Amino acid sequence: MNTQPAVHTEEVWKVFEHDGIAVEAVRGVTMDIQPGEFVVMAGPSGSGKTTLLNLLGGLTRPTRGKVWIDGQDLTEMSERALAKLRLQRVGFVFQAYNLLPVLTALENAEFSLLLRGMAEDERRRKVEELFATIGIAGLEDRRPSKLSGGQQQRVAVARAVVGAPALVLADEPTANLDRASSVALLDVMAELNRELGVTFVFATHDPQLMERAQRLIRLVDGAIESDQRREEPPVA
Amino acid sequence: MTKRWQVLPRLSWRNVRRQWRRSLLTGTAMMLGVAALVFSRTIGDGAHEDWIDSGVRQGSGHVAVQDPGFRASRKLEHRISAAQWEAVAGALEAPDVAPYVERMTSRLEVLGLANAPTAAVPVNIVGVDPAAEAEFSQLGVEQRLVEGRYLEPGDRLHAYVGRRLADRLDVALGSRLVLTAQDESGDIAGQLVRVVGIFRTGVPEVDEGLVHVPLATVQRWLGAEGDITTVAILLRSAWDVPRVLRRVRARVEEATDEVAVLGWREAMPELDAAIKLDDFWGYVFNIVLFVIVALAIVNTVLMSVLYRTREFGVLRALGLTKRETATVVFTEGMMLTAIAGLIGLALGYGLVWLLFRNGLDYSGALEGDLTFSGVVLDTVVIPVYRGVQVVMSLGSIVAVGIVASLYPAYRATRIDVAEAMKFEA
Amino acid sequence: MAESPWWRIGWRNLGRNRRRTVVTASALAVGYFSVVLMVGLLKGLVAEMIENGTGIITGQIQVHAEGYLPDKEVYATIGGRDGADVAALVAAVEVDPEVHAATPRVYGGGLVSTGSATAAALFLGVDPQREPRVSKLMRGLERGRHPAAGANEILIGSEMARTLGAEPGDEVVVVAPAIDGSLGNDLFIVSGVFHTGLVDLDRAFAILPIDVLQFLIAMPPSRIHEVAAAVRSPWRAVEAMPRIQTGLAEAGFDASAESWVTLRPEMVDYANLSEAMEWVMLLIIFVMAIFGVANTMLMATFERRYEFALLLALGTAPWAIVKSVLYEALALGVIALAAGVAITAPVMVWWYEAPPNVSWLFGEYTLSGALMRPVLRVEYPWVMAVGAAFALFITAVLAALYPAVRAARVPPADTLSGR
Repeated sequence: MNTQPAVHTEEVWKVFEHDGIAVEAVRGVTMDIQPGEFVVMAGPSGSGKTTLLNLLGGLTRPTRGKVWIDGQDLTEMSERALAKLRLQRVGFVFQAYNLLPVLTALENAEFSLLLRGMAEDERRRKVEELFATIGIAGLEDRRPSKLSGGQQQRVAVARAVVGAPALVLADEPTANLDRASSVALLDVMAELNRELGVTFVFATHDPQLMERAQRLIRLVDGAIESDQRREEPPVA
Repeated sequence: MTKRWQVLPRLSWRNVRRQWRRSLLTGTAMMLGVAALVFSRTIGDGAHEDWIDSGVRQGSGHVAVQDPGFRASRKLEHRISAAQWEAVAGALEAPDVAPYVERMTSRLEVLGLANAPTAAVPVNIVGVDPAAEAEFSQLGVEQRLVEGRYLEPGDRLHAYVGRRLADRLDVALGSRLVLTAQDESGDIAGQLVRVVGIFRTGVPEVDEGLVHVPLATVQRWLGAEGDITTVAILLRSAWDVPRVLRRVRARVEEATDEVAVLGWREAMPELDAAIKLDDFWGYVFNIVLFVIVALAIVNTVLMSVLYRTREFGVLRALGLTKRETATVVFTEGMMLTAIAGLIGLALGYGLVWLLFRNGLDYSGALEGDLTFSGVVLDTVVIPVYRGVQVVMSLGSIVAVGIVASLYPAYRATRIDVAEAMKFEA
Repeated sequence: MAESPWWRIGWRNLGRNRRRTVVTASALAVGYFSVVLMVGLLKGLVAEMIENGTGIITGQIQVHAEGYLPDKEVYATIGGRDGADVAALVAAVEVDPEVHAATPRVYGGGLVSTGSATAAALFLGVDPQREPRVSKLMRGLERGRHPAAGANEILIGSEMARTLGAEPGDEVVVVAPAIDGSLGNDLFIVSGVFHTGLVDLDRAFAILPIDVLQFLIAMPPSRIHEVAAAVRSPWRAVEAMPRIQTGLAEAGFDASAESWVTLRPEMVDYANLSEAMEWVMLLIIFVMAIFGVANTMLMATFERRYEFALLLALGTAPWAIVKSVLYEALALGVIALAAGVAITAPVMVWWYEAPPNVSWLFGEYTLSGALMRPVLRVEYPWVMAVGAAFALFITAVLAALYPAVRAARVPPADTLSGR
């Protein structure tokens, strides 16, 4: 195992300007996330968890402080290098699924592999394997509009993990799902974490998800209020 | 990495198809634009060929051979000598020129006065070879012949005159009139001729100021036996003029520099100007059309970008660079433009062929004749199809596509990824 | 009606997506600008043709003896063999408010010779004081000066001067058949050379004082062929003509007046053809614009389908929805027209004041027999400026019709409950 943390931040600040008023969304966050962790960042809306997630994924640059992913300093990177880093090392799962409507489930899931230039049969094999693991085998050729919310979100999870990223960032992945679908989705992600060692970082206020956390980071007003680890990961 | 470039156009194409209603509307504007371009070019080129053809037939041909001083002086002293003509005739018979030549005719032109008992009118007196000239200037064809007949081989003291001239001189078929002009020695000489035919071209200057007389008669009358002032040459197509001019001039210059070989644009600068003006209008109109089409396409593609900010956000989150995101948008605009443009191209040619293959007749819009730089415009225009038109259309399609897709593509790179992901579905 | 909220809603909806409104309105504004400018250019072309076609020699109104046209017989003078009181005749024409100036003319044909060279000529006898106010012929003086009344002086065209090799001050022999059957001839001094650019005029025309020409062709001073008049605006000539005709009859002259419209019908034909082209252009441009606008309105209404569903659910009548969308289109039209006028007006004024010379592109040419300068001038197309404004609104409303109907047909329940 790599001793390097998957994520490392140092005194990260993010300040937005809104109509001339400075809003401090993230205030001096310093933390490490180790490979294979299943981390939940919780907090009321406006606590800065989504912004922090975006900072970790290199979608936003910090106002101050530094962010490392897999030992690489994001703040020093060019736009191009960031794009490459996202492609190879980071996966995203969004609240609104955000599948590309013009692509089929399979095409959505294999998109990042395609961008990396992987051969077609290999891509296909990987995606089909993954679809079987997460229980959506047989839906490969459907467009997103022909899938249920739960199914769409599983495709989104598949898209995020298929490239074996160092880190998967998930922003309220269960917020648009009913209870049964949420439980099923979380099972899938927990299993991927356990079996494949995928590092997950969630931002949520869903108590269901918080219960399952190995490590629960509570954010209040853009700063870490508490950071608890559980010795034993709960079993579904 | 090659695979990566294949996926972007595919994404663009699927977006064009997904937004089919929007694509169709925008595409229609583009289609109509290109169809209008094709229409105006085929009809415009057809009209221009008609003008040039009528112009050169009435005037001095696609290519005219004269003494260098004749154009300015219009005097008999600037005749073509036998040596001059020999040099040109040799060049015209060369194997790389002869196939382009349709026919030619020799003329002896002088300015003179047509006198009748009641009036005297200044005229351009042209000594012609009746057989060759009949085919060349076609003044004797049915539409132009008012009365009598055109000159025939064997005619001697006969004259073929315009309608307005006949009116002004108050002469009829069979009437006599006296032509006076300066002869070879500079003296005023008169010649009695009889009117055998009256024509009407519709060009007032021509109908009042032109008299055709047999060449031999003019030569004898003015003491210029065997001499001519102009050889008018008709080519198979006006498009061959630059080539023929270049080749003939090169050969003629080897032999003598004492002879002028003029293209119709030099010989008839007014006609040249009229055609350039008409072309200018065509360009202005087409540019305006395409600016409007481009605005419609900018609008569609831009809207499509602003609608899909989240999608572009996802693409960026998935690791696409800004440039690649822009490529998706740009390709989308280009595809839309290209497909619509190509359909428009086919539509344009199809419609022109279907509706106007036998000619577009606008004579209903006019009561009299329309003349442009001394040429009566044919009111039936036969469309002309040329490769240049297709190249121009394709060029416009690409240009509109590029112009209309660049801004939206740029806008797509300006999307704030984090911001784009925030909103609800 | 005034309190109807739809106009306000339509207007505000435009403000919701400013960028889209700007792009769409600019398509309409560019359409408006193009139509007005192109029509202005076309009108400029026609005006150039008419001004030059009538201004160089014809004049906008001519008075002749009945039957002088088209043969132009030398005997057919106004008032027959006895002639007329020329001063009174000219005054009778000049009295019309539209007439700017009138001048008497005598025509003849003959030869001009320097001894070594001879040219056939059309002689025009003019009043050297009056003629320049009616036609541009004498204003195109290249060198020398105008002939003086009563003197044996002649003004010749530039082409004729070249043929003859004659310069101002040279002596020439003028020969012309007189009306009594004799051959008039006399020695003249070339007073000057004129240049119009029309080769036929420059080659054939020679200008003499009217009394001198009358004497040369044995015609008494009371006999003239023509009174030519210039009016303030060419198209007014058509209205002025019957008035002048009546005035002449009342003054006791047996003469017929004709305007350039009948003298040069080919120019009227061209003007009509050109006007037809204006409408074709208007049509094509705004038809193209419809598609751009329809697209935007379609998107704008699709975006708001929840709102429409809500309005319908709240009990709004479908036609009210249609109305709100149409009002939005009208509001768009107002913006587009304002923008269109704002860009068009200064360009038109600038162009009108300083028409660009395009002699680098092409030279002089003739249209319907009129000499045209290589200058792209515009005339203010007032009618079309209004017509295009209407077309702009019609385009906006037509383009909004389909989106409006679609908006009114949104199924409220399905739309509100989901996608």
